[in-house]
Amino acid sequence: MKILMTIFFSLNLARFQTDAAPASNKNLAFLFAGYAVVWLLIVGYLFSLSRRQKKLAQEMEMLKQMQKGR
Amino acid sequence: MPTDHSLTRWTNIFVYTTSIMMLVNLYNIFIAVPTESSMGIIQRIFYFHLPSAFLAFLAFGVTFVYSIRYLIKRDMWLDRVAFCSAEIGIIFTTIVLVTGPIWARPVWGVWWTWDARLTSTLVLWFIYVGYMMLRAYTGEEQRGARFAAVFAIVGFVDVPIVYLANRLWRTLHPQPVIFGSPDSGMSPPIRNVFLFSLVTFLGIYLVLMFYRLRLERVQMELNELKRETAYS
Repeated sequence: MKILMTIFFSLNLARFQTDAAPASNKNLAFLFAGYAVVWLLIVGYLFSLSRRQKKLAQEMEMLKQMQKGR
Repeated sequence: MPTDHSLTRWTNIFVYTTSIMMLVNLYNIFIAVPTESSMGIIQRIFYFHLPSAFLAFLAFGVTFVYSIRYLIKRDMWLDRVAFCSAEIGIIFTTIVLVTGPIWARPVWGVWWTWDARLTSTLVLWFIYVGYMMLRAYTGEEQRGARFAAVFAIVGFVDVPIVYLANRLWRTLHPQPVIFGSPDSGMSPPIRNVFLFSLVTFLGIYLVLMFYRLRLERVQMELNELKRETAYS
């Protein structure tokens, strides 16, 4: 989180110095938390889909082997 | 049920395009867009809070339409599309319900308040979690699909309630900035970044739908194989 905030500050320093109130910077942690939630949920869901896909593929393979064995 | 693999190339192109759009969206939200003057940088949550809400509505809309189609045609694939879209809708509603309080805390001074918009959104989330649970606990496949379709159609009534909540009742939630009163609206840079974010989230929805439906197709093939194995 600190690394991300440092990158954000360094990239956006000029803008903060010109058009934003310094008081608003304290909300940066909230902003990062919000964005982290979005990414975690989407990536987590994709990860769960990939795990379920692998499990189904294994089960399918096992059933095919069973059918061959009969 | 769609047939086969000729879509893969186009799907890959679409997935890569969406990934690039997600990065551009990140740049837009954190770097390019000017900071809103009254709320400061926390207002940037708007660019993924509102598109998530729209996509949740879209996802539940797809569930609604496909549930009706399922009841008419009794094709299991239509039921599966409705189910997958509801699952993704829950993800987007969860994003709305988590990012909302994170935005509210510094602006309103509270994480949560039981006003009409927030409460109806929470109810929406519970309705579709209930829909998923109904699927899980109804044993027989056809009967479960039928019950769930009716539940999804009735549950969709909450979507317009959520949408209209801050128009119909006095709420702490901000008044609508899109299709709102004549003095509402967004400045051009904010509007452009918002629209780009909305298109990006639409891309994310379509990608998630593609992967979820592919999984569902494998599941249906597996069930068929299980039936064949049991009868042989």
